[in-house]
Amino acid sequence: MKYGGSGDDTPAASIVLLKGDDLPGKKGEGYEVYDKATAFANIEGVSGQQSTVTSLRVFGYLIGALVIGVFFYVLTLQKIPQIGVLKAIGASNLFVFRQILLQVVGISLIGLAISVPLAMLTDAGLRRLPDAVPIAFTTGTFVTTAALLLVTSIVGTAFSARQVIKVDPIIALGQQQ
Amino acid sequence: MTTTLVVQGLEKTYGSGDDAVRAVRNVSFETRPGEFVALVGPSGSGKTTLLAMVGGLLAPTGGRILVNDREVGGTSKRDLARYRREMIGFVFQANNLLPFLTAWENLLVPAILGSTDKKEAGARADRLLEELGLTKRRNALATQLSGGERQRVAIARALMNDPRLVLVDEPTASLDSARGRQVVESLIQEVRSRDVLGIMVTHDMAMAELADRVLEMHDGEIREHRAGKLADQVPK
Repeated sequence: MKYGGSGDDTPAASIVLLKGDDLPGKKGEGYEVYDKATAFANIEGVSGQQSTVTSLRVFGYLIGALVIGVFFYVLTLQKIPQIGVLKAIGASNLFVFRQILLQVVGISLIGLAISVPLAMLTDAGLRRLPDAVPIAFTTGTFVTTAALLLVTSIVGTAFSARQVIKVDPIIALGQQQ
Repeated sequence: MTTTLVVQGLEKTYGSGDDAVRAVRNVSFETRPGEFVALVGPSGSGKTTLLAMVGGLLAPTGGRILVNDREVGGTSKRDLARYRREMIGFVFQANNLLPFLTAWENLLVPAILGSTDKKEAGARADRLLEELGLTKRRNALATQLSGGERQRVAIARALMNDPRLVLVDEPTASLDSARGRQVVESLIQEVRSRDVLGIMVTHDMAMAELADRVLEMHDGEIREHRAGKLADQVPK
């Protein structure tokens, strides 16, 4: 593998990948032996590229979490008239909140049941491209993303708990204090 | 079990000082079991506030409400929720059915809140729908029902937990007079047959006259107690 030009036409190796035992004895003159991670980290531009990709992933998760959290928060607020009716006919705050939470977890699980197979199909499709795209959908990615989605859905709903508790059942009579 | 309601010196004041508004002033009345009472009066006369206090939705600022000799109010929100769940059946002006549920499923909601056995609740819901002539509309979504059907489902929902008091707020506001009368007659029949107590707030004097007793409110006070002129016309 050669990086940069040496001025002549002879290929010059700057990195030689070797696999096996007793590697230090087999190195050529002028070469140092490093493990794979250290070798990659020292390639010019790689660490910069890695931090960019990591930032993209973190922001992706944050934006996703925000969208999901706000979605469920708004969804709960839209139900305030119905919550008022339920409370007027005797539902406790705990009952109402438990029902909302169950619905949110249910919707999130349905969302995951649809999105995970789609992501798997996307992964399979990308792998079949002639020039494979360097993206890996690992089991870890799926588990982390799914767990994050569930947690943010629940957190978004938990934020609406105060609003649920504040709903006055008298709104069912069309009368505000 | 029959129901008695005693209201003694009931008061409700909103705000304080110069801004205070006395919505209900020293209201007292008693009812007989199986009685259907109409509360009438102009807007702002305090009738809905009075209904809300009897129903445990609003706390009085004075006086007492006794249902079967037990005082309502002054208790925690949880106790009031239980009181509404076990003792009260509400029929709201806008019927307030849950739109994404069928007529039958709407009836199951109070039963779920009251932890009634699901099978028993289902059978009871079917019986109530039959009594109110809604069997054929059992599986229709609330949004697919006509105004009159929605109000009759709301009546059935109010009766699901075998309440001691049925409180009704302007049940005919969105109905024509024929359907309105049908709905009020159904309500009165259900209340009388169960020997419970019904209180209906209404602006419609023709409907009020079907009640056993009419209480007329003005400026937060009951000015007139009298018998409903058309009470005898309600089929038994």
